[in-house]
Amino acid sequence: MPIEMSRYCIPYTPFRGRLEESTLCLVSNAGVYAEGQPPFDLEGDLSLRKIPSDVHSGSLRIAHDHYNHSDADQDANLVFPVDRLRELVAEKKIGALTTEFIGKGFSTAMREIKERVAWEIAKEVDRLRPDIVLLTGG
Amino acid sequence: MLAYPTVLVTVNVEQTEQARPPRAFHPEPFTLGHAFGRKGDAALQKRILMDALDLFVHPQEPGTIARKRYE
Repeated sequence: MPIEMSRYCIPYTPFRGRLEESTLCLVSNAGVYAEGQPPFDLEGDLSLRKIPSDVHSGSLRIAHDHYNHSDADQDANLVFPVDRLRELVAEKKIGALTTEFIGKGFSTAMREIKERVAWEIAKEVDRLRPDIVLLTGG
Repeated sequence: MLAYPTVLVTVNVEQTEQARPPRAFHPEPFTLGHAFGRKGDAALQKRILMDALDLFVHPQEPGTIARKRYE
């Protein structure tokens, strides 16, 4: 099913700040969750996982049957670059990270994603008050 | 609710071309499961990340996908 979320217009939000002063939130569709959280249902899952941004990358898990994540199972930074983001903060290349990041799993329920889940993600992002948002898939 | 600038790092170009997000970055030649390059290669992962974040500062036409090839 084609994804046509932006067929007619592109919801573009300008960025006028400086990366060095910006707080970043990571939102991932790659099926990443933290150890101790329930894994995503591989058949389809519209729930979200709030992942602390100080999570140990070795405690991240991936529940997703629609891409090969064998390398990412050993190095989650391939799809969820928490270590690299923290390094960029330490190097003062970005300002800070939100306290939590957001993980989502696989689903083909595009209408529900568009009409409900996208808004749930937006509300979570809004609660975290970043300046910029990094989106990743698998 | 406020609006937030986003950038997508994608290795699924076909789907991203259909979705037309405001900012998208494709690191070539990487495929699904390797959006930030190779496992254990922190330097490469960080280069891809910074190149993607640079789209906030130097944006392309919204709806297009910026591409860069890594060896």
